[in-house]
Amino acid sequence: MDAVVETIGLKKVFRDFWHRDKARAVDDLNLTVRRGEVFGLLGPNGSGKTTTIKLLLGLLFPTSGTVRVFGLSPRNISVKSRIGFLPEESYLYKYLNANETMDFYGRLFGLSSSERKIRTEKLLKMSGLMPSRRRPVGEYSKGMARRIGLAQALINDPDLVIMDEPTSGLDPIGRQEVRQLVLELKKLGKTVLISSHLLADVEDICDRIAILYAGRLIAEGSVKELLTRKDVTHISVSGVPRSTVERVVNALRDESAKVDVNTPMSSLEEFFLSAIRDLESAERQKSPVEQVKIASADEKQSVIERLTID
Amino acid sequence: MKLLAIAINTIRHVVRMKLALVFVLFLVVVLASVPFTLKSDGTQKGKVQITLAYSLGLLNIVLSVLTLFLSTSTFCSDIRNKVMFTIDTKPVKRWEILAGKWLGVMIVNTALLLCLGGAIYGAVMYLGRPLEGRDGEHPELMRDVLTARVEIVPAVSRKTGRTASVVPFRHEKEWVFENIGCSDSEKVITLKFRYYTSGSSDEKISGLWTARSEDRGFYEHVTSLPAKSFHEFRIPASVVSPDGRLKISFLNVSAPGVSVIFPGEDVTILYRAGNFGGNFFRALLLVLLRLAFIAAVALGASTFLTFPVAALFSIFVLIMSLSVSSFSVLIQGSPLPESGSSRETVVPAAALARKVAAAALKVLPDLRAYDPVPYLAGGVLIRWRRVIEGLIWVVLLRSGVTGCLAYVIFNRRELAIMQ
Repeated sequence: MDAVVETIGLKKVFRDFWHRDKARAVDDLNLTVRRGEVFGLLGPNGSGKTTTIKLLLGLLFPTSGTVRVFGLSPRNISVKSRIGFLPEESYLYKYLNANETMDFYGRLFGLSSSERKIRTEKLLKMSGLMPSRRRPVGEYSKGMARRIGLAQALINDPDLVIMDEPTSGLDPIGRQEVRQLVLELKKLGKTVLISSHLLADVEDICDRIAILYAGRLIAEGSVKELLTRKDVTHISVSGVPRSTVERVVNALRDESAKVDVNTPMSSLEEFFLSAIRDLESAERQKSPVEQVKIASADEKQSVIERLTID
Repeated sequence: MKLLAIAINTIRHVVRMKLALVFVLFLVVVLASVPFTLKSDGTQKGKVQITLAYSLGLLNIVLSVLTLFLSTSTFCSDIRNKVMFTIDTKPVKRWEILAGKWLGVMIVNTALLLCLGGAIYGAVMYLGRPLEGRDGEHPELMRDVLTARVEIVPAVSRKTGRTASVVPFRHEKEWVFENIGCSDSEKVITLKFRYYTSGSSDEKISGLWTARSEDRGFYEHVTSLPAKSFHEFRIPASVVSPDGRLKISFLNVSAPGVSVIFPGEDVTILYRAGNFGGNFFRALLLVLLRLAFIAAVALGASTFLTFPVAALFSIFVLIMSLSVSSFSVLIQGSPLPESGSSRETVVPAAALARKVAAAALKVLPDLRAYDPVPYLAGGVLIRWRRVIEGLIWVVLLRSGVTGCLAYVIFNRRELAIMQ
């Protein structure tokens, strides 16, 4: 699979007026998002998710390392024409209505008048904003503002959709709709990069995820790979009498096996929290210098393995 | 198309956020009250002159402030509200964002200038209509104000620059004018002058003016007029030689001991060369050139400063640009300090400071030189050459360089880092 997004040793340090290091937002981040996959960038607040996205969009410049989107710099115009971006909050002109907003962004993509008209209508219908398309965006509720933000992100029929906290501000139905939309985009062969801290929202839709903490990558892989408990075997049976099940369970116990009839999968939220807790307690016991070292390849691998086996 | 999209959006921003409304309302109210509130000399000519000067001057100032405010606010608010994040992630080059904003502000300026300038033109035409019972005043108004006259400075003054002349009692001073190209249909030309006196400023100065050319005879005119203000009198155009030469002399016949001082370029010949409407239009173009520069500076400042700081910076540049000629005179005219033993260190430092100041002033355009008010109030023709000069020096060069600098700064800026 081709790499749509690739970061190599990406680092972003925010500096103060005197050029002294203020905060290390992203540290040695190596990430690959492949064509056609839904990739989740997860982490608690302040973990560097949004900074990473801003680096991928050229809104921030790396302190060191490389960012490539479609094999080029994210500031390249041809790259930008293939990206749809939904920011954390809908940063739109409040005085424009939905039609004008879509038309404005459509013009920035150089779309023809007829194309803009067709896409605007389709996307406003999809986002349920047709009845309020003539109201200024500034009068929209938070949910409506997210929808118009999402619609504008898709005006260019992008190959890569980057969504920063797409479900924030949406009610459960809106969140479900976003999830549905992401799956539809995937069906259309689009690559989707989602950043979120609402783990339940992305658990079902992401092919692969990366977990960031304090600017560092602490886990990366497919959802299945990360959430599967490798020391547990899940036997699924149906149409078997209870007595038969009990015999099987007893036979397994005779083998000193621990038997649990519940689902073998933990939720992503549990996994995420335990990963963070483990890392925090590990770091509390180390000096600041050692804390930095934890991101080295071997140690990181051991953390990932510990987290995934747990 | 992208540039135009940003320009149209900037216009929407100005209109819907009602940014220009307060300024325009203020301007309309003040302009409407100018003819009724300002005191003139009571003549129709005086009233039209003062209305023209104050309303156009006010329009110039208010639109300058409005441009400065619009340019900084439209750009800074996009960055502050993070709308720029959304725009910058679209396939738009950053110079297109800057140029689009500038274009939008200039379209708003042009529309406002045409509307309000048109209103001023209408008001002036209304005030300048023939009035019943004051028939004698109207031809003078048409001849001196509601016209477009070429202004010729003396040939010597053109070559040597501004030099003042002192004319003692019973002495004569002569000026030579060349290239007077008045057409045969013009019956008269006008001599405009201003002088100062060594005596009391209230005292009237008497003088004998003579206009002559080698093969067209001469014309004499006696004046007894106060000092300090400009005066005019008419001379038959027939005294101008066919090759456009004319000698004007002034004989001081005031009183023994009273000298008359003529500052450089304060004696000029005027003759009609166009109409007021065309001249007024060119005056509006000069205003537009100034606004183009202000918009470029304000947008440039907004690429690296926050709104209030960018606005203050732009105001500073505007004031300096309006004072270029005054500062240049001050810098060139003041002597270097001489202070005994410390002279060796003071003089080079002062000389260096002077060079830096002079260089800084050269970077800025002399906006005062493109002020249309003195032209229109004096009925002086604004040549197309002047407008084109302004277009090249103020818009293409100064605004262009400012725009390029702004692009370099903006292109290097990490938009997601707040200043």
